[in-house]
Amino acid sequence: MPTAWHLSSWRALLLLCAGVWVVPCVAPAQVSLQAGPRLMALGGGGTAVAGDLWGGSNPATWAGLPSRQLGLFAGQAFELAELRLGAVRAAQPLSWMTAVVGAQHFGFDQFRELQFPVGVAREVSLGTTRALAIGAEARYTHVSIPGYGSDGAVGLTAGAQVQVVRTVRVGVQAVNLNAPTLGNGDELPRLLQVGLAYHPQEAFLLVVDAVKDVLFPVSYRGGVEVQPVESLTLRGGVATQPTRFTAGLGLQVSRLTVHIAAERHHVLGWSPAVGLLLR
Amino acid sequence: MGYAFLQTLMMCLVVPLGAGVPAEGHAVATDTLLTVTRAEVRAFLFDERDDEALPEDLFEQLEAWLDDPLDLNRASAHALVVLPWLRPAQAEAIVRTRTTDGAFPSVEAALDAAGVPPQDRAYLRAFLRVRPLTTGTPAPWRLTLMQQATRRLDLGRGYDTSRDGTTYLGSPVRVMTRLQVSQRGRWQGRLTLNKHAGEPFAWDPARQFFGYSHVAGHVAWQPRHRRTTVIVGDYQVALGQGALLWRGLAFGKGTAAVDGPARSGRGLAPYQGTDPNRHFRGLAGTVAVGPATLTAFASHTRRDAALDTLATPDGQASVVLTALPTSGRYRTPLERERRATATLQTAGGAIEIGSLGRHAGLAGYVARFGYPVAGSDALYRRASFSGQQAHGLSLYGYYTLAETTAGAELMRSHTGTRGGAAWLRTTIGRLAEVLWHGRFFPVGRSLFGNPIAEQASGAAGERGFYLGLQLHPHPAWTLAGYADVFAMTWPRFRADRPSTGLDVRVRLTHQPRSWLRVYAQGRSRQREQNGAALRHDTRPLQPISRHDIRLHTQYAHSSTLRLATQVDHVWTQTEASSGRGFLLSQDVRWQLLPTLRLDARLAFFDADTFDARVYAYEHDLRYSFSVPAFSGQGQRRYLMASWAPTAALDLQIKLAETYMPMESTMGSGLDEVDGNRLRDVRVQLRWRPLR
Repeated sequence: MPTAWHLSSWRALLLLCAGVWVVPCVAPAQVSLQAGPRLMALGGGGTAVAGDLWGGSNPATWAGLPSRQLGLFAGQAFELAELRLGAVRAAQPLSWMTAVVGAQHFGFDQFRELQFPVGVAREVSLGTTRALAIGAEARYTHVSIPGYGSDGAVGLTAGAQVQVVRTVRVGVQAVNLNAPTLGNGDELPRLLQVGLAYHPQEAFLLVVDAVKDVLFPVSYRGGVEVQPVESLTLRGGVATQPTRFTAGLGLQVSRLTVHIAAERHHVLGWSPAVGLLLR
Repeated sequence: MGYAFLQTLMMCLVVPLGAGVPAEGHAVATDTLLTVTRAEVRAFLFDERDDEALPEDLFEQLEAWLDDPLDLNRASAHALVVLPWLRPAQAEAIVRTRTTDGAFPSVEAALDAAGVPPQDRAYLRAFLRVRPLTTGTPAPWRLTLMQQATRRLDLGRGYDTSRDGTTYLGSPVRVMTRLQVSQRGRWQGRLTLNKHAGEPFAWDPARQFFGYSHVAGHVAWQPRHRRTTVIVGDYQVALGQGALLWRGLAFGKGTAAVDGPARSGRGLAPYQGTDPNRHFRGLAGTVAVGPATLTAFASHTRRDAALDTLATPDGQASVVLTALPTSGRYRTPLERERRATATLQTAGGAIEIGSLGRHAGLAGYVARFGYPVAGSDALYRRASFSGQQAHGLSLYGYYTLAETTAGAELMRSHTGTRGGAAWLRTTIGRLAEVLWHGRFFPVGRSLFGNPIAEQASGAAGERGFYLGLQLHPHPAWTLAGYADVFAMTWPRFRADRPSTGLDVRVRLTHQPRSWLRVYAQGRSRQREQNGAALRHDTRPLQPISRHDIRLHTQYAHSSTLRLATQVDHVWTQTEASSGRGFLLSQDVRWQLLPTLRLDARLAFFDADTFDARVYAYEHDLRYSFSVPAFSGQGQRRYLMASWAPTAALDLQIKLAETYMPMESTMGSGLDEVDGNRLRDVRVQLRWRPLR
């Protein structure tokens, strides 16, 4: 990615400053938006959470999807129109795996990033009574900047999850294992993240994650999800590097679930997001 | 903030596992048992030791035991007790039970007879087996041929012959060839040929270059059921606590908190490694005469040394040894010039009286260099050996009474100074074990001593007190740790005055299921070194400290798939600066086919100073060992394939890469590489036509 952009407005300067944390192709480790509407509210982690359509924290999560799902997601980092994210995902459980396709748009006319993820996941037992969920994703990322041109690359991501004991599930994800590059050799971010989900009851979930981008300090993330009534889920989370607080809720009406999430950065402000999930 | 979250992470991981233990009878697939692999044994024993400090021969010996486990129905108590988790009283109990009740049907039966606690068995099993006693069947002969070649793909400037200045003389390939013939429990012969990267193949017998730059070998007769050993060739000697004579296997302070420092020398052993400066060469033997065991050895070796010529007061020229390098590398003209330039003749022996569990011994040696060793002007080296001849004498003993054992050694060096070490270990049922260990070593240390000490270069001018504890409050929980308080009575490197220090380590291990093991470890080390001051003679010592915590989870999904995750945090503090280090690693071991196993790791590290570097043990070729240290910001990954198409043949290939995106060069000196990645390939072929 080019190191300087010809943007004249104050928004461009702010965008440059915020880009370190925001732009998904630069540093998805540093923004919760990338995790999807549910996990964003849990601090942006959730590597060990099963059955999340967005799979932003682990493609192995798709192995736990019980049925066909379609999701829409829109978010805006720090209330800047230039940092809007819109995405769609669809998942289809097949006989021996779950397949997921999607599309994602981020940015504005001076910086546009398109992503097209395709992934699969399934559970394997390898002869034991416990199941191991494994998943892989190929994500094509295309970045265009007027005056500089455009380029694209495919990044490969792999992940795994396992229920080690009845109440604890652990997960791991490695992003861009093939070290893809854009333009003159700028690498897409390489990540390794591990996480734990503690799920002692149906109505309570605690997640803790460590996310390391090769270029950034480790980010610890944690979140809590409670379900006071069957149709309502409340979420809260926190993350480090940089320090952020997140909150959100989920409303389920029949086959439709609405996720609302927000993240608060103490300098850059609020990042709201909303997602619709149709089963 | 990050620290608080790590605490949360540890608590979340450890506490809920215990809380989530289901009732007895939970279905467990038998093929998911988390049995200890040889890689885990290595990681446990050599945790956090960097490559430079690691004695290769120690690791080779460990591999030899893993390849050919001790037979509990034949091995003598002396042979058994060399294993780090088996105490003399337990070894004697195994032999005693075997003698009275007959052969053991299983390893577990023998360990039951010895009263070995469950937490020690996981590691011990890897070294032990039982074979039925049959009469008239000669032990089979074994033949092993091994060829190893390793090469760094990104070469340092030492291989750039177009540049001015010193370059390496040889190719960047390390080549090691090994031939071993043995008859189990009787004969063993081994020849090891080694050439490090950068060394040329050359024939110069006068300098002991026989094509390969190092040749080691031995023929040994070592029946396991008797304490008799005869070795011709390269060998090592380990007696008492190591204050006087200890060349060979040594476990120090580590995660085996109540075992490492509680030593009892194993006597003579064939040398298994490739380091030219860590063994004796000649003839050695041990024989039992009634209650006494006699050991004698004679050695003639050629040591690497830097020579200089000095003028004596009467105007004559005198050759002296100004340095005794121990790197064992011969890549540059200067390194080759120092190869085998000094002779060292050594003779010694020991007499021990009593049983394994209660014995006393007297040991001594005399050694003479071909040329005198010159003293050094450096303050911290003024107490190092100088002169042409050295000798030493020591008295040592070992005593077991019920659940308590004690060991001690008192030595006298060639300078007349005295020192020694003593320890006492007691077991409180299956609940706890406690070890007290004290040491006091004079400035003029033994030439061949290697006791438990803080300084890797040897226990010269050091005293210390060590307290180790291993606690088993619950079958699923183990707490182990130690505290070592030490004082240096003489200046050492980067400390121009006597100094003090403290080393504390605690590890809490939780194994809630047979397939899941988690441990959290904390370690804190503090010592003193020269501070920054304008005047050298007023430079005060300043404390420096290093604290690290680790969370490690190991999970065996099945007999074919294992996963391990590790998180490390390091904090360092010196007078001038502070640093932080971090490492997150994920390991996968997959037995893809019955004949093919894959080991892979992806690790991210981030250490802002060299002092805050993070060590990470990693799988390597059989007989090789790797604990690289990472500083800076980057990624380490490797893939190793182990293929065994037949029982007699196995092939291992490892590809590894260290990537540091913010760097323009990596490595230092002649190994400095332009670019931000270091890659290497390692290949090893082993053929065992007779097994």
